Amino acid sequence: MRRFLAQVESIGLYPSGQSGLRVATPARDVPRPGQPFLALQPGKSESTRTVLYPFELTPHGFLCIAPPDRIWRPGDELDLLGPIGPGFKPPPATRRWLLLSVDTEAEPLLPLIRLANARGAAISLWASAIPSDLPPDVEVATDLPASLDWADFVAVNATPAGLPELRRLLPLRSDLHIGVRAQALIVGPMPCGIGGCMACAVRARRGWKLACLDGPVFPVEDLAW
Amino acid sequence: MVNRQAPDEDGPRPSPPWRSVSFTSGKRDFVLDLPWTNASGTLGFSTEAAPLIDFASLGAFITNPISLHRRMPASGPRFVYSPGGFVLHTGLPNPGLPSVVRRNRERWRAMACPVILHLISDDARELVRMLEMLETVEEVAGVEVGVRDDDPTGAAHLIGAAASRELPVLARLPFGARAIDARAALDAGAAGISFAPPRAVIPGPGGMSITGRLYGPAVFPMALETIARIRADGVDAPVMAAGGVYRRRDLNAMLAAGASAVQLDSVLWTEPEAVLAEE
Repeated sequence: MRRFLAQVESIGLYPSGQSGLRVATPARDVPRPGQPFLALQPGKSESTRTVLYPFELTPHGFLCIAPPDRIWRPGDELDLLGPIGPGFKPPPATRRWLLLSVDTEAEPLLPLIRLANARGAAISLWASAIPSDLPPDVEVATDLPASLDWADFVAVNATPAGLPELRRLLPLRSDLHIGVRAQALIVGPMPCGIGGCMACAVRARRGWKLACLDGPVFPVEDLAW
Repeated sequence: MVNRQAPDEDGPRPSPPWRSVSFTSGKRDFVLDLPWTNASGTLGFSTEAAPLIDFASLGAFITNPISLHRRMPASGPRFVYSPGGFVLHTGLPNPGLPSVVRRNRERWRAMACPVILHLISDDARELVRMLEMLETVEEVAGVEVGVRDDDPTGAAHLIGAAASRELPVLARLPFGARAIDARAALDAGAAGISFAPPRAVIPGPGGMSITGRLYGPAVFPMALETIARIRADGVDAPVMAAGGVYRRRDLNAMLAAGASAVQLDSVLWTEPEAVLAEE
C-alpha cells in the first residue's frame, strides 16, 4: 500500500445504469481483483477518504462505480491510498469458480472474470442483481446449492451486515469449513485505511479483524458468521 | 507518497511565540515539544499509521481508547459520511490494557515522541488499577481519561482517583465543556484539559440513524469558540483544543485563541501535510 496521485480520466454511464469512473494510475499501482483504493480530491479539506472498488482493471488503471457523494470531474487529480490488502487469491489448481454476491453490488467481483479466463477456469455468478454487461462466458447461477457442489473456489462479496445471510447461503459442513475454498471481500467504509479508527472492524472467530489492515478479503473460515 | 508540502528533515516547527508546554501532576510530567498531537481514536495503538505519519512530527502520540478488559466493535453501521464531515461510532474496540501493553511496549519505546494512553472507565477503582499497572511501564508518559458527556463536573472524582497515582492525567472533557467543568477536573488533579469530538446523530443507510462522534470541517468554528471561551473565563492550565482542524491556519487560530496545543483527527488520514507542513 502506498499513497500516490492518480487522475480521473472519464466518467460515463454504464449499461447497468450506474455512473462509472475511469481512473488512470501508474502501472505499478494497477490493483489485483479484490483490492480497493481509498480516494480523496487533494486540497479540498476533505474529512475522509472514500472507498473505490474496481470492477474492471486496465493496464493503466481501473474502472469503478463513481461514489455518489463526491463530485469529481474528468481531469481531476485524486489522492489514492492503496491498493488495500492482497486481494483475492484463488488457489492455482482450482478451475470452477463461483462468484457469490450476497447483499451488495456484484461489480467488485467482476475483475476475477479476466483472471479466471487467463487460468482456464470456468466461472459462474450468483447475485441478486446481475450486471447487465456480463461477458457471455459467465454462467448466471440460479441453483445455489448445485453451484456450491460444482465450485472448487468461491469468491464472496458482502457487507458486514450481510454475514448472517452468507452463513445461511453457505452452510458449514464442519466446524470451520464449508467444503470448498472460499474468500470473502467485506465491503464497507474504511475511513482511515491505516488501522487507526477501527470503523472497518469485522467480527472474526478470535475477536475482530480490520478490513483495512487484515483484509478486506478474508478466508471465509476466519469470519465470525 | 504524496508530498505536496513536505516538512523539512527535522519536522515542522511551530511559529513563534509558541513554547514547549509541560503537563505535570506534581510527581511526573510530560512535555510537548510541538503544539500538536493526534487525537485518540485516529492512529491506533502504536505504529499502525507509520506508512503515513512520521511520529517525530507529533508533539505526542495518543493511543486509541483502552479499557481494562477487551471490548468488541459496535454492531450495525459505524460510519456515515455527509458533506460537512462524518459520524463515527466504533464501540471503542480494544484488546484490553494488559494485551495492549504487551503487544505495543517495544514500539512505544522506539517512538520519537511521548506516548499517552487514552483510558476508558467509569469506575474509579478500576481506573486506579489500570494506572497502577502502568506505573512500571516507563514507555508511557501520561494518560488521557475520557469523561462522560452527561456528567462532566460529577466525573471529577474519576479524575481525582486517576491523579492520585504517578502519571500525569489529561482530562478529556465533553465537547463544549465550560470553565466550571475544566476547573473541577483541574482541582481534582488533572495536569491539563482536552476535548472530545461532539456527539451527533445522522441518518444512515436504510434509514437507520447512527449516533456517534462528529468529525469534519464543520466542527472547527465550535471548537474554536470552546477554547476561546475557556480562556476568557480564566482557565489558565494547559488545554489541548480539538476538532475540525484541516488547514494550518485552523491550527494557528486555535493556538492564537489560547490553546496550549491542538489534537488533530481525521486530517491525519487525509492530508496531514496540510497541517503539519511549515507555512
